[in-house]
Amino acid sequence: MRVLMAVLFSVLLLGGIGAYIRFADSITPEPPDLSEPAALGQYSIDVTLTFDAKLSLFSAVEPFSLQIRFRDRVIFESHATIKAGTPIRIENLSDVKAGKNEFWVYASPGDAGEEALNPDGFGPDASAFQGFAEPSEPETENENSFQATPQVALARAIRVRVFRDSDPVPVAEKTLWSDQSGAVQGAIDLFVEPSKSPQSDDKDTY
Amino acid sequence: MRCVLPIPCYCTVIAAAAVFLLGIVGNLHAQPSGEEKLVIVCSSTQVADFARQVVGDRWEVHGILQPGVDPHIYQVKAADVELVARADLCLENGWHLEGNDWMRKLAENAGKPIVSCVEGVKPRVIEKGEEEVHDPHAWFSPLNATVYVRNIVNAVSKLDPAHESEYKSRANLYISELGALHNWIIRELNAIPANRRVLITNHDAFGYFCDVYKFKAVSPTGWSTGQEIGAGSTAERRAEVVKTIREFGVRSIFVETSVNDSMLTQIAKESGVEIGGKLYSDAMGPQGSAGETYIGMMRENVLLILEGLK
Repeated sequence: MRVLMAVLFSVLLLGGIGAYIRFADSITPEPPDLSEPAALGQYSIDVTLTFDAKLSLFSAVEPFSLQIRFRDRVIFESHATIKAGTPIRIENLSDVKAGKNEFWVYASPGDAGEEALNPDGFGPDASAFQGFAEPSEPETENENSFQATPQVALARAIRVRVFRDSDPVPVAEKTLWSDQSGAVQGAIDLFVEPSKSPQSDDKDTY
Repeated sequence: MRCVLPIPCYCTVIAAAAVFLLGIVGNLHAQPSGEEKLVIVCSSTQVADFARQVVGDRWEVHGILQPGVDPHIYQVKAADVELVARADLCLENGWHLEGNDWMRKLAENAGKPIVSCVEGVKPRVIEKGEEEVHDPHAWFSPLNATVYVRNIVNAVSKLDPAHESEYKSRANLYISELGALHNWIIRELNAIPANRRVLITNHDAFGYFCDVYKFKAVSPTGWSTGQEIGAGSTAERRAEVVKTIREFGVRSIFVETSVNDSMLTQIAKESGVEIGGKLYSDAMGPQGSAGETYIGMMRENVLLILEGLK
């Protein structure tokens, strides 16, 4: 009988634990309120390239030459060539919130092909493929004078600036540089304090 | 001693047992049921690698061809039929890489959907007879590899639209890696002067590679090691290889991992040139080797070519 009692109490204990676990799992806590207040003012983003952005098969499954994303939305996308130095400006950005806002910009220099491969061994556009190469010999006879190598001079970049209302001074700005694939891409943060003037935590960084 | 429980005690015990059973059943229901994975069966090792890059762990990806196996002359086995019978989707390279279209026949006999990954690639036309023959080795250009990846994304998204954004996201990462690979190849091969850019291999598999990276491609065997139009070894092709070696002063020629190398070894002996190594061509390397992925295979090939021809 003692054995039976032991078994029964074990059953009682285990059943109680099982029921408790099931009950505890069924309780879902209230989700925290993560809503962000809208930022005051009208915002715009200005993107300027130092190179011609061209359609690239290596940009994405659905290829593009230039893309700007904000809050999981594509706010600008082009499949055409965008000339160097021509600013692309998107006005009246919606969904800018108080707190941290992040933009993402990608521009492709096009797919390196025939024009990049010079039969003599040094392509005219070899700058894009520098990676971790040993630095090339400087093309100068004067060892004391500083001269950037042609590769450095030809580095690709995008200047990204975010403006508020008609203020000519950007509230956030950043320069993005090309990566090993030759494309230029990166994120830029805009921090807007609630009910205050916006501030950039990216100003002239990178 | 005899123990007799009072009636309320029995009730307590029965209630406890009921609570226990409820607890156990409740917990069993709470456990996630084992999710059945969709199955892709691919013909070549390259296609299987592209598929894995797109679907991740969400699908089971199987390849019929094992590393180092020649797709042109592959003989279908009973196990392949069983594998294809389990498939939700079949992928082939296409353009008759699979000799006598064995992958397409396998899929069609099993009533399974099949997608040709070369669809949309700009073809290298080999023969312009009654039927235009396209070079099927399109993956040798990373630009074409992006077309393979896009075709796979479309195919799996149609069958599993709920995860389309996930497939696209993986593909976007992989496509950018292919871009980095392409740029790296251009940069590395710039070290080989134009008059040394002659790539001699067992069979004519490197046409797209040579077009993109400006090499002259020569081989004693045509586009296939099988018996198709424009395929196989001929005395003229062999003579052209020997002539090219002399004319360009070629230092190294290359055998392939998936093709018998006896003819090229003989040519190397006769011409006094070195065998520069084994290139991955129609099949990638075994698991654990540098050539077990497409990017690794391309990287190792380029380094071998560089060493042999620089």
